[in-house]
Amino acid sequence: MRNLMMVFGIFSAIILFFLIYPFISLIFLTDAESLGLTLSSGAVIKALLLTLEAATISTLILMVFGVPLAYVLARFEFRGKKLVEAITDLPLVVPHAVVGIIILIAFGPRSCFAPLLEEIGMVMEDSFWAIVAVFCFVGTPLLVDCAKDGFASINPYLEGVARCMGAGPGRTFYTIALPLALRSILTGALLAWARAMSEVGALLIIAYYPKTINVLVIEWFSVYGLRYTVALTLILLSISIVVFVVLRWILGWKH
Amino acid sequence: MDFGVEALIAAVNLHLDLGEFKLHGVNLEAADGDYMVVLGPSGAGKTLLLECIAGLRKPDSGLILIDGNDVTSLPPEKREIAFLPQNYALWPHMRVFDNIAYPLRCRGISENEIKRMVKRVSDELEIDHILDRKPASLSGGEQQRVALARALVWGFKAILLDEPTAALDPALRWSTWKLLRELHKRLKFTAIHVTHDVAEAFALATKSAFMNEGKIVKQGSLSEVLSTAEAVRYLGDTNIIKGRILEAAKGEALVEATGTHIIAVIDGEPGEEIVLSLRPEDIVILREEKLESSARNILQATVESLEPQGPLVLVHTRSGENLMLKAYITKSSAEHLELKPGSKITLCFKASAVKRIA
Repeated sequence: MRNLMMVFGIFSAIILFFLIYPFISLIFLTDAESLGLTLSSGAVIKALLLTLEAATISTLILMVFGVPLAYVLARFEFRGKKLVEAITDLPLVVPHAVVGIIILIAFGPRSCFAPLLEEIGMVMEDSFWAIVAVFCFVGTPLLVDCAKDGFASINPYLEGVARCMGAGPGRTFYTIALPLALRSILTGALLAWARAMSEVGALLIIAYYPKTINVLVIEWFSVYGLRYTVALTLILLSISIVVFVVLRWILGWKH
Repeated sequence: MDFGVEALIAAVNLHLDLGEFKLHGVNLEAADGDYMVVLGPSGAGKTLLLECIAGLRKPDSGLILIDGNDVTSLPPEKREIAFLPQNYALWPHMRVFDNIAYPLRCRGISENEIKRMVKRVSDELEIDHILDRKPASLSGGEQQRVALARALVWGFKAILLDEPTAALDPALRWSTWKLLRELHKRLKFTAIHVTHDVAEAFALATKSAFMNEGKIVKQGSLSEVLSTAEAVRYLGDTNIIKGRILEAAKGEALVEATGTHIIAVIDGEPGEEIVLSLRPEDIVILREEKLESSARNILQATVESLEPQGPLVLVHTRSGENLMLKAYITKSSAEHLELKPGSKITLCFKASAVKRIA
């Protein structure tokens, strides 16, 4: 048993080293001067703010449309439910480049929706809303699945008793179901937000401009090389770690 | 439309098939102020019946009438029926106060009035000291009182209770029955309470029904209900005796039951209404009228009927005003004693054989 534990310990240490060493090497490779220069670069700040804004707006849009869908999937049985669930999960398996291409085909300037979208100020190519559309597409399964699990875990009697006590379906939803599933919804929203922050493949196709932070990283890497990109990578990594810590905190949070 | 039903709540010919659980033409009526106990084994469809009355499930066919009006298609919030499920269903994210205030807020009552009404019901149920706590921090008994307060704070037409004491220990169950009895006496609410526990039915029912395999077998007084063949099979042969303690001292009590005095080794206070059980094999049948025995209970009785059960005979007897007791005797003893309906006999049993169940 002791020998087995030793072997397992060594294997575990190797994989942990493989995971943690890239972060450490990135920190050691970054110098304060290049970090300062990167942080004061107008292009970086602009790309970072754009990414944060698009990720946040896409997450809010997803919450508005995804939470009702999650509730319907958790609470009701209907014909075609499996198909709806499969459609919701589809973005998980679609390659990133394909996401960009299909959104361009479906909602881009040459699509049948283009006149309608232009009417409300949305052009789905090289625009802020094209970025938001990509983020919504890739984030949907993360938010809907988490929220659905949250709603499904609520004892149906908690809602049933509220109805008996005089609450209509709407009041029951926002006073009972929504608060009780809040942790799952927030977890899903944060995962969708983090997924949006990391998206780049689809954006290279549908929205190279305006540049998001990941597109900027790729551009700097191709044009200026590795050393020039290190500080920018560290900034992105720091944001990811903050999101990760918040996510862990929400998962551990109890009523 | 007049359905010719005077009951406050009525289920008329309800049918519902959920595979494992079914309702087969259920008819049930509870009048205003009734404490109706629906007794039956697990899987009889009791919870399903309550869910149909509450509006949480729609029956395949049949009607739910409230005050004579058909509410079968009405959603639960339009029925004015409070539901108290087995796990109490307190909302864990709300304080006790907000749980109790919920039905009042749904009706747009002012916050000042809500405070007054919650205070009144929480005083009544002695939970005013826990109003700021969350349900997860409460004991089982406290949770149950909060659920009751929530059901009583607004003048619902009736309260549906689904095995509310199932999760409690015996001591707490007794005190809950006492509480429910007192509350019902004071507030005169209408209740439909389902349980598989006969003692609970004895402790609470003003009316009762026996339910089995998705059907109401019999509805009426508890003694009528328990006299049905299905109920007898469900109860087994145990004698259930409802009585009142006349005297109690040194762990013994003298109990008056339907005009007959019984001595039992039980705890209790004089004046307390109790329910006793007595196994039929603990009763000895004699033909002599006077005898010396160590058994503390010696009753004169008349044989009502004889029920052969293999090598045994279950003898149905009547003592005092109307105390019905069953006793086992071997077939050969029955022949030896020449027992037949109308035979005068003496029943003997020890005080320790009588158990208090409620």
